[in-house]
Amino acid sequence: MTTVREWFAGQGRDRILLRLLILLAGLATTGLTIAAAPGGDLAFMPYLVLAAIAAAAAPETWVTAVLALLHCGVWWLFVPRPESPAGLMLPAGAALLLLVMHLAASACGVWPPGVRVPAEARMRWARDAGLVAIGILVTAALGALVIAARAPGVAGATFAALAVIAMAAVMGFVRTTR
Amino acid sequence: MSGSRWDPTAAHVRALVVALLVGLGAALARRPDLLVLASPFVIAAAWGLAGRPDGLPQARHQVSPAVVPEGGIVHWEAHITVPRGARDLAAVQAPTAYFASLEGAGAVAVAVPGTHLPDTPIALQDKWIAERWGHYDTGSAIVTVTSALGAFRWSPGQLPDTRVVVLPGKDAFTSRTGMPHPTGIVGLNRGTRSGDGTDFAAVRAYGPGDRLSRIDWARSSRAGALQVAATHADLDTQILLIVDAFHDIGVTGGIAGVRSSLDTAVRAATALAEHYLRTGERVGLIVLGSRDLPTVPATAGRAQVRRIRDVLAAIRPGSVGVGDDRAVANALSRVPAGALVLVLTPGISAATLGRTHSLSRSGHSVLIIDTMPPAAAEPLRLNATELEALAPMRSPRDAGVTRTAWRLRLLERATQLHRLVESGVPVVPWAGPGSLDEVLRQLQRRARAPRLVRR
Repeated sequence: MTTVREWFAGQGRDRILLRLLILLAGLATTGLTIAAAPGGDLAFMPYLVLAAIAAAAAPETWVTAVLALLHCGVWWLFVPRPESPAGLMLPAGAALLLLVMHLAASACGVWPPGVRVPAEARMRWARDAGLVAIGILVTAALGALVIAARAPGVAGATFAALAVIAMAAVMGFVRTTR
Repeated sequence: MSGSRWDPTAAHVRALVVALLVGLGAALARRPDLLVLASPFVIAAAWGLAGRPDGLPQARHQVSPAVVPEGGIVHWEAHITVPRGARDLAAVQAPTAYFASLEGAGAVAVAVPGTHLPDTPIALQDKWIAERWGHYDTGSAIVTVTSALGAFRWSPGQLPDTRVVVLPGKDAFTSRTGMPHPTGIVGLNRGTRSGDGTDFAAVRAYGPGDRLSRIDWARSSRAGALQVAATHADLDTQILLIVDAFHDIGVTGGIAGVRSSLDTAVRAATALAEHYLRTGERVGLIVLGSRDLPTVPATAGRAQVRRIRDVLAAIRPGSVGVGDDRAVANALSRVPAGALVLVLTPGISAATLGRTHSLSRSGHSVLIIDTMPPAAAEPLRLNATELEALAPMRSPRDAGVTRTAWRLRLLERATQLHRLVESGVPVVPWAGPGSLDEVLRQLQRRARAPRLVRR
């Protein structure tokens, strides 16, 4: 029977840090969602906290995807549509935290327990995370521009967006499974 | 070895699913904030797809050296040729008993350097310390190569094991006592007959065949006839080491830890063989209780140490039943007269003690070296792990019964050993240098006295 001490020793310092990152990012995203949701409805909070703990415990499984989807779903249900460009500040913060959670879980799948992550790999993952973070900020900026322009929603644009998503999904499926 | 394809990881599937579902929701609900939430997954999925390597890696691995002494270092190396786009390499090695990794906890990783040229092998390396003698199949590992952001993974499957032989180390041992029955041709022990040697025997008249250098000129001038100083012949002895492998008593912790009875027996046998071969004796080996092990005929020379260590390393304790091994029985029946038989045993197997008694009654000089671990000889102080090593228990509540049973077994053992001592077979515990001196002197004295033996 493995003791807690043996489990920690077997995981190694780097992997414990990655799991901690997943947990903290999950909890911080929950905090941001609470801050963004008016009226302080906290009914969703226990589920998000539990999901964050589960994702930290099993980062290489579907639980992490469930956590990400839960966060997005709760945001959709409890946080109203932003009316000003400043309203995208909190979603951008939440997106950065989700990025941290996703990359930490991905790294757990790359580096097996007990391994010391090479310094070069750590630097490269940090650089890649920075580039994706820039992409998130650019997306938020574009969203802010759309909100600031107060352009009326048109059915054609929605259909175009759906078509782009469908095409991207098909391309992604084909390239992933080839 | 080569895997057939790059497989998407859970991370990539997660990025795709979340990007698709949340992006779809954002488009349908016309929510730019949801689009921002989906953006890390969209970008990660797109990056992962774009960074999928086209070619397939190639992996080969080796474990070296194939033969290593106890405490020696074994190198594990995997050389992986990676295509453009591969980012990170990792390997998880299957744990092998008594092989401890010096670099990590059985897992190693390396990042593909930014300046790496495609089709150039990258090495994953680990070092293990071989902690206990024996034959091991080790080196099996799972190697993975991943692409950018851990999106795709390639693995050749499980790399196969390699056979590594760990030769037993040796304890310190010296002895300044001669052998009881030197009957060979040339050696360092004083024989009973006269011949070339260093020990003075008598002065006698010169005869045909005597060397001129042996003539004692002072005595010859006084006697008026040639006199020579006769010496005892310096002869070698045949030593037969018998290792009892019917049981392995006690916990083993490798070369730096606690010892089981077989650890002590194997290392003591190596030390005895090396010492006596260095002093010119002929040493042979018979292992009792281990299947398919050849007997090592008594021979002199340095190469014999290696032969003996090879056989000792191949011991599988308790793999043959009592009385099943006819080859061993034949070898024991052919032990020549005058051989010194050293039996290394914990004294638990009645078969071993019975054979020892038979050899003694046949007129051989037999000596039992007790290899019972000191901890196992004190049943009241045994902890749960030590009791489990003696007899597997179904539950911790069986500890009391096991302890009592072991106490009874030790009493029986003491009686059996006492009977052997009474019948003239000395029993000494293994204590390294000088531990056999006193008893060998007694055997020498006994060898000079006349006695009656049954043949």
